[in-house]
Amino acid sequence: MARHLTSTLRRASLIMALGMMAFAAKADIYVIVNAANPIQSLSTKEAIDLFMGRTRFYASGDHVFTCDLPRDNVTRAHFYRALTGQSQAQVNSYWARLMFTGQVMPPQSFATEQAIIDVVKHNTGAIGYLSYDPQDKNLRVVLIARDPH
Amino acid sequence: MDSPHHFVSRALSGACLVLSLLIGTSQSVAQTTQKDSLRLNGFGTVGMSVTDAPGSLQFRRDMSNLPDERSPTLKNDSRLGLQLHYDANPYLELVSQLVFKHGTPAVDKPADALAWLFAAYRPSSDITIRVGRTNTDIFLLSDYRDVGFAYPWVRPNVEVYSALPLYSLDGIDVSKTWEQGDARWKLKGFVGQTQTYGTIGRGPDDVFNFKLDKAWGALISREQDGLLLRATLGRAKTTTTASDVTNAALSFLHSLQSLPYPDVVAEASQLENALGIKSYMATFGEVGFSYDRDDWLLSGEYTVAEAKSGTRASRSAYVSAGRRLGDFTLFAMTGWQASKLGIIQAPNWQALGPDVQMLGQTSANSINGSRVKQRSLSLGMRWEFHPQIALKVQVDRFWVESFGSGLWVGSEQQQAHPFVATTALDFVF
Repeated sequence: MARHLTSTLRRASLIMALGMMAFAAKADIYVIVNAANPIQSLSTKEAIDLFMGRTRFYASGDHVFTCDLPRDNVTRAHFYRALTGQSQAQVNSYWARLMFTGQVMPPQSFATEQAIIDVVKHNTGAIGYLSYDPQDKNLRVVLIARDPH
Repeated sequence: MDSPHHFVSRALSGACLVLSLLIGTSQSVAQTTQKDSLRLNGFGTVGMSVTDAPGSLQFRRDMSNLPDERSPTLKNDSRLGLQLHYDANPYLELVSQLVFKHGTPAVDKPADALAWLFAAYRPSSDITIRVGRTNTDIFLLSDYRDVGFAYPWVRPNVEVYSALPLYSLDGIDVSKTWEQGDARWKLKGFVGQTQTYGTIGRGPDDVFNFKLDKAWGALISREQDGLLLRATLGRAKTTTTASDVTNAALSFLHSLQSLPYPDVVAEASQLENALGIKSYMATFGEVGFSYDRDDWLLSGEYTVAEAKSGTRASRSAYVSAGRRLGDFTLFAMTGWQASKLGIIQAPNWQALGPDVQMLGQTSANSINGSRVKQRSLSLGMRWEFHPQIALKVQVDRFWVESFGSGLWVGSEQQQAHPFVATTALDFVF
């Protein structure tokens, strides 16, 4: 009986641990670049500068091709909140202001995370984000952004 | 039971549909691995406003906008913008923007819709040089005053924005950005020329063309943690072109200044100068701020316009506060403008004849009719029920002083307290 109880407790602990990991993983956003990109890692500030249109270049001087998900995408909401603390509405207004100043265009939007993977794999200067670690040798994770909510 | 012919027809239709979907999908997949160099975007507003004002006063969004005599009306706040953006390479881009909106009928023509057409060159990551038709960056909202989706209210504050409907500049501007800790600075200089129209009435003789030559200026801004501070200074040689009737009146006022009557000379000179229909140097200054953080939206501007002629010399300001509650934003805004020129008394020229007396009276009325002394309070709500669409409701109450209705079409010598209620649907694509 003690062995049965121990086994049950171990299973419960494992389930709880897996659940917590899943919860944490769900809130993590993985910023990815092409494996041939010289960028090894990004700070949060550098990622903000790239995705909020403040710069068009990596620190290396190469031109950046930023990739985004659709405006109503849940992962997009998590990403920008993790990166900037802003809500989806704030980010949409921000880009409405910037885009129609003619000074900078928002990241190019792609329908799915798989589409972002395809783009980043085909373009050395591309950068995007995913809701999971792609575990792909052709891609490199340069930042993990955590949504505090 | 279907006939063989009908069945084959439906099968072929279904196959074509499936095939087109597959082709469409594969085409979009192929396109998504490449960067779009050419992008077409747009914005628009469908806005309906209702005005409750004394019979002679009609509301307008800005002085280049001839209001609709009817109320409610769609003409004050409805517009459509299209923007084409081409990335020629990482250092050069071409931008064009067209904005279609109700303007001044006497001058409406397709070329008026061209808001921007410029080339932007970035020799480095922190310097941008733009040549062509760009925006006149003299206000906080200069870049996007027609993009309703970008701000919480139905329209930018009329006391600050209405009197200067300057939307574009033909020239060159250079900007440099740099960072200082977490703060981001921007310094921009511009030079060029621009023109706009203003109307003080509904007739063709009430339309004026304002041309700003040798316009130059600079702005500096600092942004950190959601707080943007900026200051602008600009100067231009302003030339006003009026109707033949107005020009004839001005000529006559000028001729009166050769009479051997000092009082008449002084009064005629004052009237001619106050009408502002000649070239003069105008200076403009602005300080502003905006704060957008943690569901709070605050913004405000203070402007000073100086000119040695006309009624354009003025002070204006507004402040706004808003609070996001989920998809809703509640806001309140108050604004104020006062012309520097005092009320002009009509001269007593009866001794010179009834026509001359009428000229003096009409000139004084015209000057006083273009003076501005008013304040406003606006309350409203924005509902962003879609990532690209927002519905707004706004109520504006104005306190217009006697001889201070210059922002309105029509003139009111008495105090007036008009109401304007507006519903607007803003969208971007």
